[in-house]
Amino acid sequence: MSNPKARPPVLASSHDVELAGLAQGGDRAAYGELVRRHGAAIRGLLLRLGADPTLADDVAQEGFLTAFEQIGDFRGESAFLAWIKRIVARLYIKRLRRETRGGLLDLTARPDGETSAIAQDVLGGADLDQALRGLTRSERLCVGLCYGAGFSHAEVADALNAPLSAVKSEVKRGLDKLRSGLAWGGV
Amino acid sequence: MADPEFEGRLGRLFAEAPPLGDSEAFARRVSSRLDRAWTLRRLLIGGLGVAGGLIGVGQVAASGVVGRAAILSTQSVKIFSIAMANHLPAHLFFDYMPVGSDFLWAAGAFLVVGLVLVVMRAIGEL
Repeated sequence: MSNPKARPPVLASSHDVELAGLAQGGDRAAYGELVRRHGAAIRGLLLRLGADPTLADDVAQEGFLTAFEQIGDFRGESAFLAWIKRIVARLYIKRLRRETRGGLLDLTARPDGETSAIAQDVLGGADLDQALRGLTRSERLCVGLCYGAGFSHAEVADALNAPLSAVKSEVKRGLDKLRSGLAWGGV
Repeated sequence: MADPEFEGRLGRLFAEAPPLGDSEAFARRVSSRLDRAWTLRRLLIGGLGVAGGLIGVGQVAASGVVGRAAILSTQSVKIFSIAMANHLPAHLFFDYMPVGSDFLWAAGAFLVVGLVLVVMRAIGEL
């Protein structure tokens, strides 16, 4: 029986696909190494999608547990990180739906462009995270799902149960803001 | 208008993990939740196994099959012994064994117990 607390050097130097293969055989220590490697990326994605740090931590944990349950479906055709990002993004959307009492996300609502200041503190002042502050919640979500989680516009529309045209508009507006926020061309 | 260069840069920026300082603590929290779920599952499987076993034992006891098996076993031993005595010269069989027929029965019983232990271990590993 493997001890998840132990971290043999061989695990630390193993490729993600090898670790996933071990995890498919029930090796929780190997899976723990994957969590250690990609935990920050997953929580970072959730923070960039607009989650506050507590929610990001919770959804990220749930995502890793769900991914372990579904690890048999991972065939190494894509990177492990890309695979789990999609799982986590869907969990986050499900959580947002629950918060809105099962209703659809209102992509046309444009609250005030606020993003979580706490999340921003956690993320620090990196260019991207700074620029994301200028986006509305829905713009941030759509852009994050497309460029952070690898969703297509159609997949975002499907996941959010929103019209494809609305998603494309949100992404376009978000990209325009990011382009100026990231000082593209000037940096 | 699509701007592949900008979108490519954006994709790379999103791919960079932010420097969060508590990666080890986060991994421990996930491992802890994983262990809890694992333990719960094993307890559930074990509990269902025990319940199923008890029901099975109850059914077997109620059907009186043990008594019938004992009678059949006794009869089988007699038939087997007679058959052996009639068809095989004594020196071809038990004379070459270090012990008598009791040993064979005991070995058979140990084999069954061993198989049960192997099956239990295999279930435990699942």
